[in-house]
Amino acid sequence: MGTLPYTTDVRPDTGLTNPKLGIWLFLASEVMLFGALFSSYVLLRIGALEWPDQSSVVSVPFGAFNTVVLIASSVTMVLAWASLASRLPGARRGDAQAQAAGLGRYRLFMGLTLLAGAIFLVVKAFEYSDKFSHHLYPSTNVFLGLYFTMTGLHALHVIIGMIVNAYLWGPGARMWRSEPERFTNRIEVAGIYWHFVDVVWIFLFPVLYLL
Amino acid sequence: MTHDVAVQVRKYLIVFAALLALTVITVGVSYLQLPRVETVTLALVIATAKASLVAMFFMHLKGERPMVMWPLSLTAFLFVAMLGFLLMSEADHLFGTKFGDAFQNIFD
Amino acid sequence: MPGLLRYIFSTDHKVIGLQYGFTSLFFLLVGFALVMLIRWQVAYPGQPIPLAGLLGEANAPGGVLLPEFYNQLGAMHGTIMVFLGIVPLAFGAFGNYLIPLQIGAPDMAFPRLNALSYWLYLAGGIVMLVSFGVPGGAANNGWTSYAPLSDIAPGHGQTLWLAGMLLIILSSLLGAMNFITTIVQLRAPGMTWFRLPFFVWAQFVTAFLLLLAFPPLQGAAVLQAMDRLASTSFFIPSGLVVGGQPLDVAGGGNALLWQHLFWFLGHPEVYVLILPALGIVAEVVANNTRKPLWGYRLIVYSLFVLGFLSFVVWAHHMFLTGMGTAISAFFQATTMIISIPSVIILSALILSLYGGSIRFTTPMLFALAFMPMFGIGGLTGLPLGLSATDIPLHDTNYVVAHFHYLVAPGTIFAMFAGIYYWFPKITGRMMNDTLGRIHFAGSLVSMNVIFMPMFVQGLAGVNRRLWDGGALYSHAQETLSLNVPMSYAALVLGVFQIFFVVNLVWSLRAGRVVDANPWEATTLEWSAAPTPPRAHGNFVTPPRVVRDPYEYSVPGAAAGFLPQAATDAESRT
Repeated sequence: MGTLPYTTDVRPDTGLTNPKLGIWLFLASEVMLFGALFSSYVLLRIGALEWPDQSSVVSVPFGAFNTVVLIASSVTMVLAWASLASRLPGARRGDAQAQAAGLGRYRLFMGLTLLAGAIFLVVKAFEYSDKFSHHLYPSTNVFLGLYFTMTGLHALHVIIGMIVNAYLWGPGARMWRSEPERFTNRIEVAGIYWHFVDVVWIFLFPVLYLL
Repeated sequence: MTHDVAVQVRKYLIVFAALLALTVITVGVSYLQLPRVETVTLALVIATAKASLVAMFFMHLKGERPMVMWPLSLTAFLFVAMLGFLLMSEADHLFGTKFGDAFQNIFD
Repeated sequence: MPGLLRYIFSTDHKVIGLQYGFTSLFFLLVGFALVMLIRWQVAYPGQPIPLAGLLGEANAPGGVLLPEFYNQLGAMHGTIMVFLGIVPLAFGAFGNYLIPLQIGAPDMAFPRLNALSYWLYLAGGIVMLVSFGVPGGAANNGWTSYAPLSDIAPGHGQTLWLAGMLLIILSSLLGAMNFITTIVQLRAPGMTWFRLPFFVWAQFVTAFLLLLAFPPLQGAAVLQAMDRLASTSFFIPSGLVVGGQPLDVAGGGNALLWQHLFWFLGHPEVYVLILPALGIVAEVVANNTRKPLWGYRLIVYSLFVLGFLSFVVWAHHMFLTGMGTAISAFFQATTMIISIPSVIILSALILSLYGGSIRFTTPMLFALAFMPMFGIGGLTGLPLGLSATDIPLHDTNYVVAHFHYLVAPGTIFAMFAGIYYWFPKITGRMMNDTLGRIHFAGSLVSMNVIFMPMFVQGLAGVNRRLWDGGALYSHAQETLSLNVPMSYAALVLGVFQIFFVVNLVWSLRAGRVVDANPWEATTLEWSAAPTPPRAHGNFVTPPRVVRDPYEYSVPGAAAGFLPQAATDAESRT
């Protein structure tokens, strides 16, 4: 597998590395997955005889708080990437000492990203248990069904992202010493996925909480 | 790309501030109890703006290569087509005949 | 890794391609076994079927199929043939094996992801098979799983169907993403877009169809799983009465939503079944007519149009749902338009024959038979794409005949052509020609005897999913007698496949040993790579592509053709 071209360096005519094209194609399919769920939401809501006042069923403050948390995690994610990208060999600050410092900063920002993801999930779990304690289940009405399905699927994506990020924070970071450029690309690709999870939430929040 | 990362960090923080501001606006607007159409339009416009900021700057989509942009544009079109044709196909059922109430009465 | 494990857990695209190939051939056999039970039952309704007593008291007491079990057979025949048989064979097996070889790449772009795709597919297949054994049996709501029937169906069969589908969808998505990245990124130097063999183009468009059409069904499967497991009512409308009792759910759902999301996948899926077949036929035709493919660029553009339009025709499966006339007209129009690129591709293949010195090899025979069979299947689809004629024909045997002409003597013939054509590439040995010809002739005749009478039955109005084959209906009486010869033809078709299996196994050990390029082909997998291929890396020296894919019958060329890759002499200069 080591002989495969363009895993790290850019193919001249397409201007891309394999992982970058791969992650965008995967996200294209994710757009269609969440797109289908949003379409279902629109169709079911327009066709509904009655629809609960969403903001009185779900908690807008919790949702807004989680929005901020997830946006912040996106920022720390991109800063984690930037701490590596600015210290690659050949960059202005590309010497050995700077590389060690870069790894420290990367670990800090990636750790913050993981922390934000964990906070998001804790708040989500709290919201869920609050619903259950008020006897509000997915089966109560179509809105709650959609709420639990869509946020549940989103939370699954958060969890998968956190598993990947945790690997890259811990054992995966060894690659920074051996193949710094490839590792930086990995962080960028993991980041693109993580930002996409953020984008999905940016739409889920108004649609499920505010409208 | 790597030499101007310091400039980019400043840009990321500005985007962060813009995202926070837009979040505050969208939540604030929701408490104003505007008419239905305005509420929906405003919420979706703000969400799209936020998503675009994340995509363009954090996901580096701004200035991305055509081989990424083409599949994404196709995807965006297909999503719109799915939603649009879905609603158009069901339009007669949704808006034409709301006879659900009649069903409800049978079991009361 | 030692010995056999190296082959089982390989990340080499060729091994994974073969894994896909053998697994999907197994599932094709399973799907065929299911349909043999269906055909026997339809020919002799209510009479015991030999050996069917082994299926258990719950399914076939005394060898007589119960209607519930018959419904399982129908649903699972469709699911297994489409999602576990043909797509993995056409896309997973042929695509995996050939794409890197044809574009001059050492492997797929993501070899480990490639292995994961296969294992997810296998897991999905096992879940589907296991579902036959659970109480209540496998899913029995048709391969389309229409709601609300599928929502309220008792037992775990439908739930396992959803679980299996989610695994298969994930497998296809990872595969599609891998294929596209490979074709975009790993083309050898000089392999420009318009030097790609047509087969690679077909796989490229197919991958996009899978990538973007499958996720809505994924979403729909999640919603239906919620309906079944968490008692939501996404697909259950208010006030639904079942068995005289109103259902005890919140209601407010929309049953047609499932159909929309299903067919948003379902129609592109039709082209997922067909495009790889067209790709294989194009390769075989170009090679065996010793001519460049007629209108190469034209048919590549046709592929794009076909792929794009296939996303906006889906509601022609739903004319009976009472959609508005304007949107119905739109879908009828797109359906008529999408037949144009299909006809262009088929015409180009037929025109490619003109003036060629055709070699009637076994793969070429299958490719030649593919064309009229695909033509019959395509042309009989037109009445189904128009609302006025679709309404009487909907859900009749006419529909069954139409799409089976496309996939059975259509796609599956192309798959056979591909297997006979690339077998020497894989093994370094030829398959036996005589056995191949017997297999071909028997299959062609029996396929037509099975499916042609179905048009007649369908036009008479016989519904497609009847346990007794229509014996209860007066309008079906006239055409009922056709069921017996059709079922015997199905049995004969099965018998002729034995020639294929014997040929496959025998040729592995005793087939005539051939050199690297027995078909005198131009594309990279024959002309630049060793036969049988190297385990990893594919090419001894990375190929440099200097020509279009089908440079046959070039005046002055020593061998009568010019390979795509630079020859030794050209490399030295």
